[in-house]
Amino acid sequence: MSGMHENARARDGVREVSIIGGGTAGWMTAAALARLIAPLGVKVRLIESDAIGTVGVGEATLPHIRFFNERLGIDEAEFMAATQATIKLGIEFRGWGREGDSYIHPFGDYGREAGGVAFHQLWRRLHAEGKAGRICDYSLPVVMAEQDRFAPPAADPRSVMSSFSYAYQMDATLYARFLRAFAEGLGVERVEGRIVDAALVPDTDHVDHVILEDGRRIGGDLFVDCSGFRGLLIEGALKAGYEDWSDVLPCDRAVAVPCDSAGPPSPYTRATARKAGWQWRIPLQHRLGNGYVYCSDHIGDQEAADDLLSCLDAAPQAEPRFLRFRTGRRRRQWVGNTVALGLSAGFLEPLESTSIYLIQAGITTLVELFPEGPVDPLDAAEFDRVMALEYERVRDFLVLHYFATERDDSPFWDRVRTMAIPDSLSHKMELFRRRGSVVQYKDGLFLEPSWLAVYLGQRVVPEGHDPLADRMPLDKAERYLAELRSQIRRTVDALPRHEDFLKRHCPAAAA
Amino acid sequence: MTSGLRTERIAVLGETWEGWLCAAFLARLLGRMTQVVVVPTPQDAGAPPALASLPSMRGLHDAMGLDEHDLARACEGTFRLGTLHEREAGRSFVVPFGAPGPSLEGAAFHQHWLRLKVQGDEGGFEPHWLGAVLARSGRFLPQAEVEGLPLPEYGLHLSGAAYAKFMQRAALHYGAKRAARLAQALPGNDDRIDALRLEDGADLRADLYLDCTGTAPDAAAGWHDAGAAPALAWSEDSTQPNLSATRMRLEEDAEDILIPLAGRSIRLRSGGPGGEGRLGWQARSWRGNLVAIGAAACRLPPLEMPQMRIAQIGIEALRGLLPNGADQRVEREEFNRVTSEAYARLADFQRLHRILAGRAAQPAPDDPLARKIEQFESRGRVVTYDGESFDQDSHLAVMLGHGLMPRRYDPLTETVPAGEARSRLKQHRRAVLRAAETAQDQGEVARILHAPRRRSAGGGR
Ligand SMILES: Cc1cc2nc3c(=O)[nH]c(=O)nc-3n(C[C@H](O)[C@H](O)[C@H](O)COP(=O)(O)OP(=O)(O)OC[C@H]3O[C@@H](n4cnc5c(N)ncnc54)[C@H](O)[C@@H]3O)c2cc1C
Repeated sequence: MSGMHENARARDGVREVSIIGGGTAGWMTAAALARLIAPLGVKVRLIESDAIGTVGVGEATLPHIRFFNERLGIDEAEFMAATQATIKLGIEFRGWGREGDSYIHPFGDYGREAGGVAFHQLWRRLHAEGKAGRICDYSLPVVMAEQDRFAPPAADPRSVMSSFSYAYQMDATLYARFLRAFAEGLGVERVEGRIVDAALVPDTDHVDHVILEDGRRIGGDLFVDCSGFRGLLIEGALKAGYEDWSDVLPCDRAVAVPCDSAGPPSPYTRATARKAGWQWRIPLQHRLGNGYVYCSDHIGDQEAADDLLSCLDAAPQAEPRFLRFRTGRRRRQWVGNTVALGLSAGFLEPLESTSIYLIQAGITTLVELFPEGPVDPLDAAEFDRVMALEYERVRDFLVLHYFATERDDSPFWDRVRTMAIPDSLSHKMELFRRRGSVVQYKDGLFLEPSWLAVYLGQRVVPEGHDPLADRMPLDKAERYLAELRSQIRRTVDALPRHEDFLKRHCPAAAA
Repeated sequence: MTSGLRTERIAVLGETWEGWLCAAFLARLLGRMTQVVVVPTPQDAGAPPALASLPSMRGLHDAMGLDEHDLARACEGTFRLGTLHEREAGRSFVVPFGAPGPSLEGAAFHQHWLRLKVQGDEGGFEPHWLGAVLARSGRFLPQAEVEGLPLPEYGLHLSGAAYAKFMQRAALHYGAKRAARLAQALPGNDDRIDALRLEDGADLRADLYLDCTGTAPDAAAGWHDAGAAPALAWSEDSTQPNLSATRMRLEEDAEDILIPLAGRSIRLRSGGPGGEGRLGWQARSWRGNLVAIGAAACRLPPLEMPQMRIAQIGIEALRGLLPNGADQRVEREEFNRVTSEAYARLADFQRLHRILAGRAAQPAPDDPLARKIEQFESRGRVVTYDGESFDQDSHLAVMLGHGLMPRRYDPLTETVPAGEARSRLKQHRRAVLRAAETAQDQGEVARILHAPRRRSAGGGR
């Protein structure tokens, strides 16, 4: 029996984890490892440089973050108050299919399946005959968002209140600070200093130690590279390589600026299509986060900043900040004893608020594959497989937003409207166009309702529907839809306003 | 939608169990919208003496309004709790359906067992798995609540001939028609069938043709070959060792399978030369307007009895992609993508058995199976992909069953103190025992289920 037991022996393996970087990725990793792995006798340390600073613009999240916080044992109200957080029920996309269009991509379902056929197929049939409203009218979270109302979802699957989920809009810098306090409370050691070099174990791809500006050397059995775009270890020291996806996602810059709130915060993020990219608007309790993500081939930095400033809801609170990025994915996200998480692992623009989710997915996978003993290259390969699938499926979903457009009002939109897209996306679109069917997969972030939201919201209209939708007699189907719609309306009317919910549940200190 | 885009008629080629199953399913699903016609052909394969289903097949039967108890009653059926694999030297293991237990502190249930096991003071895994205990002891627990344990799931063992007959009755009841025998399929353009010429001289035209003849074209273009088919020898056996499990023995170059029906068992020996045709599957089982379903699309060895599952894969894929017009290209491509992936995963699951039993070559590093074995061997982590027929739990049972012991366990298990973990597992085993005691002997279940009774109202006309 003893021969097969490697766990005990393994303890002589990874005893120290060094996390490089203290942005959102670094502190999320530190908090999770402190909670989950440190109790096993593993020391967790984080190195960051105040001089370098963080990106700090990740403000909108996906519902998965709730499970992350829950697993760590973080109290929701405390977390929301500490990060000036608001509720997020989805994203409103303005001007994507055509100028003037608008739709909300909600965290939740459209209608309810009836008679063995997907709701949207039934809807499509009636809609084609002018006998149904907007698909949005059958989505509880959309109607909640439109009316600025919110109450937590119900657990009872029979209740219409169980048909949605929610996420947060929060100050990412405050979140990192919150997690730092949490992680330090659990014994994570924080090292301040600028890393100037990394030394490998000779003739291997294993990092032995990093060297700080003041000469200190810091070792570790496992390194987590959360150093941001520069990928200090994964690229700098280990040359993992980068798969560039800017041919399908050509935006490469952003300018961000916070401004005062102009009214109560809405429970959704807004993404407005612009001449050379798109603009985000994220309402927090104490301010609005704003930014313009653009393609430098089609607009200059100054023009982009002026553009952004000219359409803020209220007075800016700071000077505009400029950011540069290259969309894509590190070819290998785990090399030797270094795992890349966050911006050092890859970048996908924040159109669907996926970055923090991808950090979380990386952490979960790392914990599952946590190398106690000598790092096994097979685990690295498995990590890469799992994460590659995540990144690619998110990529396709983002590309859809640009490609599914009729906009021809600028060279940027001409470019994305006519670009060549991955086969993995074109076959999905074709199937939807043909018959309104959404390609299903087991592993992947965005499920059927998300694809539906964007297809239908951006004028990818099915030519036909599933013939099974024809089975229900027309008048019965009509009554079914009408009842659903009024049930949703009645339910939402009775809910508290989002701002009142925040005031009661998690009021933040005035900023 | 205008009726011009409708599928007016679907012709099912093959008066086989698969043909009648498809016809019954489609006739029920489509009602008056579409006419379903079954056309017998000279190539029709006979029904196998016995069939076995996975729990997921129930969804299909439910959709047809068929109760699995009625089905079992009509088809000499027994409830299949899993497969009992007999190995050399009296050793055996069960691949049950459903999960063993809930995860605990972020670590899978089996990881907690593994942790105690490697510390040397824990017995086998099987006593923790209610489904396995029931399968081995010939018991059945239809749907009682069992304190904190995942409910065991089950499939069916059925007489193939009775199932074919049952589905025929159901199909006709739901409005499907039976035409005269096929004389010749008349080809049209682009791989399409223009019409079926029947022996009575009539031509039958349909919008879609299903090949349910049960015979795959040898080495057709796009055939994914998996070797020569083994010889199959069916026989009847009066032994009834255990009604709850398919019994399977992997021998030197044969598989010996015993499928328990109510009152008799069917034995299948598979192996050796003299088999008909090739094993494998069609990467494009939908061509033109002809969709192959069941053995016409995919033929695999009988390990884990995949025949019904193969038919189910095709039917479920078709259900989601029923064409709504003459241009079927998009549906066709998606169907072929989904089904060939599912056939490949199913074949992989069988290969996993053989590799672990030392009867097939180790997978190459880029083989998707390699990842499953490596990850389990290294840390007890179960990897599955899109398109799997068998879930993570089934994989777990196969790997543990063949004696693949992970080198490590999930360290997260250590957040539960060892003493507590030990007593939790003990409690769990006790609950399994208690539940198994309340379960009925399947011999008893069968006696009641198959007792002569007055005409039943269920199950078609
Ligand atoms: C324009 C824009 C908008 C975004 N919006 C969203 C959003 O809405 N939702 C979302 O989920 N995500 C969003 N993101 C992504 C999100 O900001 C990042 O995923 C997140 O901030 C994680 O960043 P990070 O921790 O990987 O890197 P960073 O924040 O860059 O942190 C890097 C860390 O590494 C340290 N470091 C670097 N070099 C050294 C060195 N030499 N020595 C010592 N320390 C070093 C730094 O001190 C810093 O602590 C957005 C990104 C951009 C660019």
